[in-house]
Amino acid sequence: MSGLVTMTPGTPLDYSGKSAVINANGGVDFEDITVLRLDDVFTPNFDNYRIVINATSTAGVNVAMRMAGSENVDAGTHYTEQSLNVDGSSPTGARNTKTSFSLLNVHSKQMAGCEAHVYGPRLLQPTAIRTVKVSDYNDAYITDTAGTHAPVPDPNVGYDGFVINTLSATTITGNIIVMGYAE
Amino acid sequence: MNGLELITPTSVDGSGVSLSGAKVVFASATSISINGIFSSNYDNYLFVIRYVHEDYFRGVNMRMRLSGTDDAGSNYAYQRLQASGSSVSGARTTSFTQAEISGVDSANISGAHVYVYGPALAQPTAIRGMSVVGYLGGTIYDQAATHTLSTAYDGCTINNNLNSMTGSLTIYGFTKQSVV
Repeated sequence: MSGLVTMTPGTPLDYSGKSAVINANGGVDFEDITVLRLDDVFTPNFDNYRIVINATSTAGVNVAMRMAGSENVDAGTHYTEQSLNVDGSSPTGARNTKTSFSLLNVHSKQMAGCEAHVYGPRLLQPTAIRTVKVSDYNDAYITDTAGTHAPVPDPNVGYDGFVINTLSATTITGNIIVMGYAE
Repeated sequence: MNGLELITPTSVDGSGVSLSGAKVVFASATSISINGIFSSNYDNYLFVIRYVHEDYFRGVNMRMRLSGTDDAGSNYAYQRLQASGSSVSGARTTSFTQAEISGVDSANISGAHVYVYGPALAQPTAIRGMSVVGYLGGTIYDQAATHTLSTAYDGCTINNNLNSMTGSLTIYGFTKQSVV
């Protein structure tokens, strides 16, 4: 049995920008967008998921990820994130409580990528996420994260999707795919 | 052909440990023994582990296992990388009786991807753990480990130093590439 199952998002795709289309493999190709919402990618069939995204931009921009249910996007200060950054010879770390996860750090006109492991987003419990990322900041930059999402007052919420958005008006172009781990 | 294939253990051992299809479920378990997962069908493997409860933050360990018996000899070494707040640190432990592969925290969800290289080959085994531990809302807790014996193993035991943990895990084999 295949270990990874592509989770094709529900349609129509909700996005802001030039275009976002579901490709033949079930991923989404997007061009010059600032917001993209993927619904129905977290299902009761799987506990854990892998998200792979790559993107370029015309200027430096960070891309955030927020959990989304059938109705609402959680933009509350319910995301705690530990980062590990390696820029030259000095690794540094920081833990912050935020209104989103950090998904991608695009510098300018070069490729940035992220593999995110998401644990239990659809289960009635907090969600954990671990990312491995490459940024083109200073040509090449490691900026990995480990985070949890626990909404208030009830942290035990299941989500069926998520939203990514750039943290400025700068747009990104690339591809994103969500896969469920078979069990 | 999919590059990653789900593996169903032939059996599991341990108090509070059960199989649900291919998923290993554990509740207040101190030791999770998994049999019949490593074979000649694959060289390399991935464990995806989700923890939902433990007493407090501590490491999770792995021992190689063959025909129901763990190797508890001092044949393991591991290098840890931890990032917690502004502190980024590392530590290496050698000649140890188990390999640290992950971590788990009290009442906070934690997750891990653990890559195991060549456990069923008659050669030493390499392991790479990559975790989000729920400690203080999020902590990076990664490991690189080796096991020195050139024995082909068919399973493993995951333990938490005699403390209990609750959650589930699934195991996958990486499809071998054709040689042309």
